[in-house]
Amino acid sequence: MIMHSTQQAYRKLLEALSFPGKVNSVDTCPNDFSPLISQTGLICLTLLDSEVAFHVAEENNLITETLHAYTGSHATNARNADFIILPLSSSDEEIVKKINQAKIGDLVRPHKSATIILEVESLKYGYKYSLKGPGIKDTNQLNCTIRPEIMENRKNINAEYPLGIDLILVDQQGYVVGLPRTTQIMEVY
Amino acid sequence: MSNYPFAFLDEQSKKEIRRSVLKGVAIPGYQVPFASREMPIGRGWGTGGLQITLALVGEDDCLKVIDQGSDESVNAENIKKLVQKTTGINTTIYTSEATMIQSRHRIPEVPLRSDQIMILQVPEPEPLRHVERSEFKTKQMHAEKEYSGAYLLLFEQIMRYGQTAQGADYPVLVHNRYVMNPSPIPRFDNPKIHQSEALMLFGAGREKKIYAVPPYTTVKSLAFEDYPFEVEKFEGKICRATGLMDVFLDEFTDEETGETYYLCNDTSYMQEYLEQKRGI
Amino acid sequence: MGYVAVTGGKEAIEASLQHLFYERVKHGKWLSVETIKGTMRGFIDHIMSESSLYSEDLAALAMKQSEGNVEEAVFLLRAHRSTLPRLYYSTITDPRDMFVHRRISASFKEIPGGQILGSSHDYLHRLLDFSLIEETEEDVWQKKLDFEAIEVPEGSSIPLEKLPKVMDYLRAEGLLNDFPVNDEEPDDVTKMSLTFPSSRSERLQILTRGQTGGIVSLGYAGLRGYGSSHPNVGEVRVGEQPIHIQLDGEEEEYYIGSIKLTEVESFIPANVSENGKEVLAFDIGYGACFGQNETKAIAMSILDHALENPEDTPIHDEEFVLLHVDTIESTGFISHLKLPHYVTFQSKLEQMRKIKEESGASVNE
Repeated sequence: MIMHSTQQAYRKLLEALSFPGKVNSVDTCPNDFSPLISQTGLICLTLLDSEVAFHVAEENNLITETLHAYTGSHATNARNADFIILPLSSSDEEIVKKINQAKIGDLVRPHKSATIILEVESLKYGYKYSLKGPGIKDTNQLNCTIRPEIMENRKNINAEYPLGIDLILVDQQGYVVGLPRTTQIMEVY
Repeated sequence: MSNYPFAFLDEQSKKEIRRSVLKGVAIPGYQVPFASREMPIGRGWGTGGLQITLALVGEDDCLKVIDQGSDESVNAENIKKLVQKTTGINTTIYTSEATMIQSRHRIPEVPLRSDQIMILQVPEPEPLRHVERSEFKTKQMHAEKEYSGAYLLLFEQIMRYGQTAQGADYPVLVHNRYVMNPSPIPRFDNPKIHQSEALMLFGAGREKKIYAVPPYTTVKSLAFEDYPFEVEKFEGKICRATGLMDVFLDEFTDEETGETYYLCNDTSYMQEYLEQKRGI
Repeated sequence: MGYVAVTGGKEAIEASLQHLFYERVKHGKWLSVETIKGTMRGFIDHIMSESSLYSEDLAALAMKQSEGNVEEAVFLLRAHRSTLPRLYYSTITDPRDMFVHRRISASFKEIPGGQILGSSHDYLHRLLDFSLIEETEEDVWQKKLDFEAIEVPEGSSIPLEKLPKVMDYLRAEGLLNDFPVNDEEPDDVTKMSLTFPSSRSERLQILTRGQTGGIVSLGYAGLRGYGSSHPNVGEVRVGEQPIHIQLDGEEEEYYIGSIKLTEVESFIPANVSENGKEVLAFDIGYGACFGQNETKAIAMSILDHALENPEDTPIHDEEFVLLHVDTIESTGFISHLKLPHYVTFQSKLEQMRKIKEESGASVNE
C-alpha cells in the first residue's frame, strides 16, 4: 500500500537529514513520475500535499502536472515554493538561480524556508566533500557529482543561520543524502 | 478500532507532522509550530509525543513507552495500547530492542544507539514562558537570541538560595543557538542529550510545537562559570534491589519499619539488570 | 507503590475500564441513539459546536457512550474528527440565504421581515415540569400531533427565506463603520498552527469551537468591566444554512446539505474618522456557531470585537483569550495533573533538601 511506501521513504528521509552525508537507499515509486528519478517521485509523494506549494526547475510542465495530479500540491514560482524540485537535466546556472531565489525564512519563522530536492548523477563518486555539524560525529565524507560552485552557492545562502535552505539529494541509483542548513561543507582536494 | 486508518491519523495529518519534524531536525532546538490534531487521549497526556510516534511509525518498528521511568504506568500502557491497536506493531520494555521510544519525563539509563529514535512528551515547550507570558514576545526573543531573561531567572535563584532551584525542565542551549526546554526530565538526564547517538524529538500537542535535537549535537545546560550546572545527586543512596548507585532513584518508605529506601526509577533497566544478574 | 507498579499496569487499566463500562449499564436501562437524537437537541447542538464536527448522529452516539458527560462527548468527537480526511472546503455561504427558524433584534422594535421568535427557552418560566416524570410515548405522540394540527391563520404566514439583515439598514444609512468585503480564503486553524498576531479568520474559528462556558465567562467579563466592547444585539438568527462545494476547476456549485446555525451581529459604538473628523458609528461584533447556541454566539460577538481592538486587559488580549478557550486543551491539561509527577517531584525534593542543608550550615558557622 502506498501509505506504507511513503512511511518507509519518510523514515529514510528523516535518517538522511539526521545524519547528513549518510547515503540511504529509498525504494522506487509505484507511480510513474518520469522524467524524474523514481525515488524523487516517492519523496514528493511523501512530502507534498495541498497545504504546500512546489516549483520545478525550467518550468517543466510534464513534471509539474504529474506532481500536482498525484499530490494535490500547487505549483508556484521559486520564490514562494516550499519545495523546489531540480531534475537531473537542470543546468548548473539554473540550479544556482533557483537556490538563490529560494525562501530562507525569517528570524521569527526560520522554518518558512524551502526544501530543495536536487537530482544528481551520483552520490558515490565525484567531488570529495568533508562535512561537519549536527548529526555528524566529528566529520563525515561525501562523494558526489555536485560541482563545488553549487556547494559554495549553498554556503552563501545558508550564511545567516538559522535562515537557510535544506537539501535533499537523489542520485540516479536512487540513493538519498540529506544536507540540512546546519551542515558545513568543505571540498577536499 | 478497525474503522480507523493505520496509525490512527489520516495521511494528510501525518504529512504535516512529518514535514514539521524534518524542519525541527534542520533547525536544532527551534520550536516548529504544527497544527496538532486532537487525539483519543487527553491534551497534556502525551499527545505531542503520540502524534510524532504515529506519524513516524511503520510496520517493522518496535515501540517502548515509558512514563516517569516506568513501562507499566497506566499512561505508558495506554499510549502503547493505542499505537498497538492501530498499527499491530511489536512493543517492548527493553530499551535495546526498541526502534522508537516514547517517554514522559525520563531518558532511559541504557545508552541509546543511532538506529533508535527518542520521542519526548512536552507539556510546556517554551523555556522563556516564566520570563515572558506572551507567545508573540517569546518568539521575538528567540529570533534575537535574547536569552538574558533565561539566565536572569537562574541568577535570581542563585542569589536567593545560593544555587539554582530549577528541578526538572532545566533549560539547555542547543547548537549554540536556541535555548530549549528538554521537557521535564530530571537534570540527571540533560547530559544524555548532548552528543546523543540517537535522534531526539520533542512533541508538545497542546502548545502545538515540535522540536528536535539531531544526533551528535552540542547541548549545554545553562549555567554560570562560578555556578556550574549540577545534576541531582544521590550520594550514599543505593537502589535496594540492584545495589546500583549511578542511576536516577525513586524514594520509598518501608511501610513496616518507616525506613526510607531507594529503587531505580528506570524500572525496565532494573528488571534487565536483575535478570542478567540471575543469569536469565 | 501505588498506581505505578513495576508490573500490572495493563491489568489495572483493564479492570478500571470494566468498571467504567459497567457504570453505563448497571441500572439495566437502555437509551437508543435515535432517542437521544430525537430528544436531546440542546446537548447535541452544544457538543457539535464545541467539537466543530457537524453530525447529529455522531453527537448522539458520543452522548450515549459518554453517559451524557459533555467534556467526554466533545473529546470523542474531536478525536474522531482527526481521522477524517478533509476532501473539500465549502464555498462562501451567506446567512441571508438561511431558512430562518428564529430571528430577533434587540436594537429595533420593528424590523423588516418582522421579529420571529421561533422556538426559545427565553420566554419560559424555568419551573420543573413534574408531569414529565410520568410522560409516556403516547403522550409524546399526542403532544406532537396536537401541535402539528394547529392551523396557521390566513394571512399570517411570512417568508422565512432571503430575510434581509438588520445590519443592512444601518449600512444604508451610513451608520456602520464599513470595511471592504473580504472573501480571502480563511486560515484553517486545524491545519496550521495559530501564530500571533492572529488573523480574524483564525480568531473566529477558535471562538466558534471554544468551550461554551469559557466563551460565555470571558464575554461576560468583557461586558462587566474587563473590556470596552459593549454591544447592542443587532440580530440573532437561527436557521438552516445551505452549504455548497465546488470541484476543482468547475464553475458549478453542488449543494451538499444544510446545517443548523446561530448567527449574531452585535452593534458596538466606535469612533470613526470621516473626512478628517471624528464621528460616532457602529462596529460589528460577529458570532456564529453550529446549532442553536445563542448565548455562546452573543458572547463570541463581544470577544470578536474585543480582539479586533486590542487593549491592556485580558479580554482584549488575543493570547489570553484564544489560548485558553479550547475545551480539549483546558480540560486535558488540567486533568493531566492526575498523572504521576514523582520524577519531577524527586528532582525538586533533592534540590530543596540541598538548599536547606546548605543554608542550615551557614547559620551554624
